[in-house]
Amino acid sequence: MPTSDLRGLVDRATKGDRVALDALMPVVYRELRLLAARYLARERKGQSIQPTGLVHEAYLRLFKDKGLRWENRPHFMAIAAHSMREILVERARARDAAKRGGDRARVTLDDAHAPLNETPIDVLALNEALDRLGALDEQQARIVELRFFGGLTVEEVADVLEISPATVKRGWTAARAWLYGEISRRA
Amino acid sequence: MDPDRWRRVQEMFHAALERDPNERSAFLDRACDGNPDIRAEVASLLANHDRATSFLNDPSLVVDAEFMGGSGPILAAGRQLGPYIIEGEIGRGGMGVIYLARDTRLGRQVALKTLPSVFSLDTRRRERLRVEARAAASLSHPGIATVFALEEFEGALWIAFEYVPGRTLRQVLLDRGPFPQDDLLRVASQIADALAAAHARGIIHRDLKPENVVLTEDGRIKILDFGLARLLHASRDERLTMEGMIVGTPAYMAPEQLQGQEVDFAADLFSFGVILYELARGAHPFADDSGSSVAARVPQIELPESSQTDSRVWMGLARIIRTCLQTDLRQRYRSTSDLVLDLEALRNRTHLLRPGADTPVMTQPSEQPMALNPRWWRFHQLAVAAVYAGMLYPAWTVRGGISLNAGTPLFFLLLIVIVAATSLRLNLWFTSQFHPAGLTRQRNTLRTPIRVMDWAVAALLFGFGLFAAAGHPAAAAALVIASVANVVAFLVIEPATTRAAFPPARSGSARRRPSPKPPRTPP
Repeated sequence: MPTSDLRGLVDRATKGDRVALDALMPVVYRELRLLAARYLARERKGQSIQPTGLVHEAYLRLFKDKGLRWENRPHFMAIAAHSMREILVERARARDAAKRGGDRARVTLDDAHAPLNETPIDVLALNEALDRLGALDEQQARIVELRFFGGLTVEEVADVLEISPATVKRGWTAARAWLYGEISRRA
Repeated sequence: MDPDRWRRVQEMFHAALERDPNERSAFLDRACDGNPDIRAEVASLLANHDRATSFLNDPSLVVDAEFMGGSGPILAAGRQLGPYIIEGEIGRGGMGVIYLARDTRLGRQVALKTLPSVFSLDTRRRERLRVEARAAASLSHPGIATVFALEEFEGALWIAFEYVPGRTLRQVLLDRGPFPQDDLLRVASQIADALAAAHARGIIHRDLKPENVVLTEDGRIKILDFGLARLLHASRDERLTMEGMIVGTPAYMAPEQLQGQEVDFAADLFSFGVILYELARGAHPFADDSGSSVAARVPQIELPESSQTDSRVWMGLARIIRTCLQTDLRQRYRSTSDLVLDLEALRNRTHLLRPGADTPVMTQPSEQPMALNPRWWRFHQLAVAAVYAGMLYPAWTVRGGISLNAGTPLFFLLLIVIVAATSLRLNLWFTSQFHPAGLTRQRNTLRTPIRVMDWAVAALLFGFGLFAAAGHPAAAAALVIASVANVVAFLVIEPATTRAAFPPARSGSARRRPSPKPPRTPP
């Protein structure tokens, strides 16, 4: 798709055009998935990666430098972060499907007490917890989506949501603590 | 918990955080006086905050990388899934693991691939995927890895397909670089053959790329995942699985596919063009980087017009690639068999050229056959058709002059021949006008019939003219003149208009300005 078409789509999606958003999502999704696969391939080879750059790179690759109007960039980031969440959740489900009935990892007492910080995050549990958080506070769920799935900085999140960085920080701190509680309770 | 309560808990939480850890408890006692539930929630939030030292601090990709980096297959060798026993891991892609397994029923090795997320689909969409799998399984071609079965084990769908030992074109490209001309044409022809067979059955690959084409040890190719793109990319998200959804790999996807339109075989032709370019040049046509982005797709392709090996073959190849890579799908080949024919012609040409002989080539490259000056050639087709039809009138007039009452039967013979000759000419004209990509093929097919018909018309007209000379001198003269003019036209004039219309095979010399047909009007 030519850059100009994409730009038009983001413009229209920004203005609330559902059709444009629906057309845009798959493109962003595909691009991110492609990039994610390459990042992960590099990771497997033991090279260091900069995952925070993923969404930015997708943006640059899709729009090159002759870019999107700058004020639309945050909206693209929001779409991309949401796509990342879908990609990872989907992958986690696939992984579950493959494991199902397989040698289920035995959970030892030690494992059960291992802090979440050191174990891989259960993306599916996080996804569900995030949905529950969204019911309590939509904005906080979006902050988490942007920060964790989108890899955006506090300032960038503030930009996307049009709120102050301080509000982002407070929301992030509370949401993170709450999600930790939710996930460890159900783990 | 409801939103209001959550807001209150948070306020308390943030206020407590600003205080020294030792004073927090006392602060909460004071602040939550008479509300032990809220106090408990804030306290638990604070505790979790302290525990969650690095929780979520790394973005998701790092987390996921831990899974991807995990060593060892998810299913260990020896594990049984229905009738299949896992023997090992063949490959691992972004979308899952492919296993080598033994089908205990038939004792053969198969490749097993799981369909991500499919278990979460509703029955209607599951059924649709089954239909697609069934279509894919109906494909039987030596160039296509056969789909054996769609299985369901423990809530997940699995596809069992022919295990093809060998290396993918991607691996070969990485090892060897660009393909030598002979290999390239051989591989390209085989892929095109397989594509044509599938397309003839209405099955589209949708995700053709070097990773999906295996070169076996005996030099044959097999296309993997034919017709399975939508299955393999099935997503729980309806938006991404609806009709016309985007599946495939952006770097190899046709523009219309990238835009999410419903695709047909022409999308595969585009991907084929990308692959062909990559095999020829060792690089992706649209970007330096193989993982080209959507924006990098520019339809302008620079292929070297000459090469140290054999520039004429390269030029033919470049034309084929360009035809496949047309942004407008109507400008690509109108059918995959046209592509097959073009590749065949090119291969024949390399064989013919190999001894160094300047042998005439069977066909012209088909892209832009009208590059030079097609106008007179087109006019020629129409004019001949018109003159043939016009000659029916004098022939009808003079039929009585033919002895033995043979006039009317002969006239009907002439009618049949003229209808046939006219149709063939009009067919060529029509093809050149509306289906230029198929013109080369059409011209080759019709060359002999047209020549035979031309001679037959000339002979019959001449005969009518001679027999009728006594009774209808004017008509007879017209018929004889038409007959002779016809012979002159197809022996002398048509080759000239043809040379003017089509890029010459090699003779750059004789390009005469074509003249219109001589006057051959009936009296």
